[in-house]
Amino acid sequence: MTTVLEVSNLSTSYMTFRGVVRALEKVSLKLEKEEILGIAGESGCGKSTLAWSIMGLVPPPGKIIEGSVKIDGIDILKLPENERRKKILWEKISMVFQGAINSLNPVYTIGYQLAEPFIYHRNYTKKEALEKVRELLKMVGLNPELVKRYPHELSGGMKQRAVIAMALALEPSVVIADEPTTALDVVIQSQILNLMKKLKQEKRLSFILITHDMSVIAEMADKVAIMYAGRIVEYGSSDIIFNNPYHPYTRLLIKSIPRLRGPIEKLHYIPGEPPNLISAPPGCKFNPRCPQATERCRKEEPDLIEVEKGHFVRCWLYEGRES
Amino acid sequence: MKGERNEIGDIFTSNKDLLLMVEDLKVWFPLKRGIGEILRRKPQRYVKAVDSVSFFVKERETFCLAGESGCGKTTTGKSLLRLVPITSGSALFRARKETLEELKKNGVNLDGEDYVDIFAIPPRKVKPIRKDIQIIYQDPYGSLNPRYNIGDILKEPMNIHKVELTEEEKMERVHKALETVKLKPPEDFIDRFPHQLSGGQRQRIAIAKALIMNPKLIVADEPVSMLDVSIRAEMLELLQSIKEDRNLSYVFITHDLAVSRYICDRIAIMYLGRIVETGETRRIIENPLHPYTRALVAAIPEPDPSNRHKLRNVPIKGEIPSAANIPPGCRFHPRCVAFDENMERLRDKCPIHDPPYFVSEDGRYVNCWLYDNWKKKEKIMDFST
Repeated sequence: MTTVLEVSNLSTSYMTFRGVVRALEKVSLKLEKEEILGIAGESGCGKSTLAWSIMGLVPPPGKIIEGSVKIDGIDILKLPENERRKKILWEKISMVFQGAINSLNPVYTIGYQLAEPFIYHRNYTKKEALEKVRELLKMVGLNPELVKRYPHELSGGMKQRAVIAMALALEPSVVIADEPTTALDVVIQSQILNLMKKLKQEKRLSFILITHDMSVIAEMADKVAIMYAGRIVEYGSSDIIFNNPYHPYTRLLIKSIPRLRGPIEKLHYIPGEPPNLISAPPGCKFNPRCPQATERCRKEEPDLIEVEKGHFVRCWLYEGRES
Repeated sequence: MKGERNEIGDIFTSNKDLLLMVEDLKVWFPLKRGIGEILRRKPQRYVKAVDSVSFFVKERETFCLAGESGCGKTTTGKSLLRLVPITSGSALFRARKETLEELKKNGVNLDGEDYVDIFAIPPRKVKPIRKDIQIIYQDPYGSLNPRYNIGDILKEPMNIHKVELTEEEKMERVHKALETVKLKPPEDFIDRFPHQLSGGQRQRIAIAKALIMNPKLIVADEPVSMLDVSIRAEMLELLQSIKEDRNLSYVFITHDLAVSRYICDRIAIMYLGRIVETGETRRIIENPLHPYTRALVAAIPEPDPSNRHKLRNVPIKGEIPSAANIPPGCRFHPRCVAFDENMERLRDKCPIHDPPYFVSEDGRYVNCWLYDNWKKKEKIMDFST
């Protein structure tokens, strides 16, 4: 196993007029070759901020406070902006943005937009680039003749495939997919997920898959990180997260998923709502909603500890069970 | 036509537990014609958003309309409040006595019946019907007026319908509605504005707003889709308990079959403006019959991590055609895998003839030629099952 991406102690805040929103607090994770890491959590838990921070593309007023992101041993956050854009983004790590199907430029053809990375990064001529684009389109299961089409002539599923093709253009080793199927219908969603699985194998890709949909995570991810209030609260292989979760939040989250098959059990829910990250409660951030919270949880914040090999939990319940 | 109308009316009168019966609803939106088309006398083309939809809702029942985007489920829901122009069809609805009186006073001819055909009311006189049928929209961020405080938002329906209550009595009702949706204490919420509330709280306000006129039927258009999964169950439970307390019925519109399984008694799966299969929710999900329903059920991911090792096989091909250009014959046949497998038997059926409904022994209606050895459904719902 080789590690392709290593994030350590990454913290990001948004400096708003109302105060500092601490959107990401000391997040660390590792991504191995040919692995899909699923990142799940409620809206506002910092999933997308994590993706942007890894790319070094946090929109203002956001700012990366500390931490490092290492790809092939290079800390990309330390690189100057133009070097990072030239050598790292798209070449080594690329991203399928949330709502990406709406981010295609309506006045350019698909071919032109997909050819751009080849022209700017690799100095291809337009003709060579378009030839490459045809290959790309074929790879994601689209008709190569689409190069001449405009985005409005494509359906949602086709646009999503095109955007994935764009992310794969320069053959990066890591692709971050932020809610890649959220706007799509289930039939198309399953086709896109199948495509990602195939690409992972054929191209030996690693994915970070960000979604609020736990079922999609189960369908795809080898490892899962559960986020709450800007922190990773549980991290482990997807078998552990889904079949034997430790953290009370993960447990409740899994129990709240409506299931299509099997007996109809009462759905659980988590009362209350996630904390405001400008003035988060002291102690464990989940304590106001946690059924097992104790006095200590309200005062001190637990660390992320390794309870089994490769299984990390941030909860006082498991104190002293470090392996 | 008249005779058929009467027949539908007879069925509705004799089945007292029916609240609503929609028959052959069509909502066709005309397309703009170019000058060339007009000069060449080309026929008017339509976007057939809803094309011959029939269903019924019983008292105290949750009926679900499910399908992918663009299948016409929202349009069908909106048509019940007359929020879209109706091309043809009838919707018999057992409105409350006061509502029927008001309609009569406005000059709507009810033929002395204790129900009303919603689609036959002249457009300017439909307002009273909206007291009995209310709607909850999907997006709680878009459906509440940002410049009204919660009290005003909840009072607005009473003002629109000119309810004869004093200001204090209206406030009383607002308090009660807020308590029903578990926003307690109500005083804390009345003076707030929508932007000060979370998504879940806003959706509760939308529910309270729908309840304030004491409706008999609520059209809930994807009420939980925008909410986080952790609070979705809470909202479903709330809708369920309100239904039981107030003897309500829901038309629940959703794209999420897993959600429908927890809340809906019966379900109708829609495809391209048509109901392709309808029956008891659990049976349809456990054993889908229509090839489209099969594909839909197969496509839904599940929270089981062992799925990651395999590709999901969804038996469907191609993409959904435009509602302006519905394929001839069965509208699903160009994408149907079962049609390819049974080419010999179905070759002169699916591509040419629009299938009727066939009724299974357990009372399911399937709009597919595969089941042509079953009993064919006549024009009107057979309620003996």
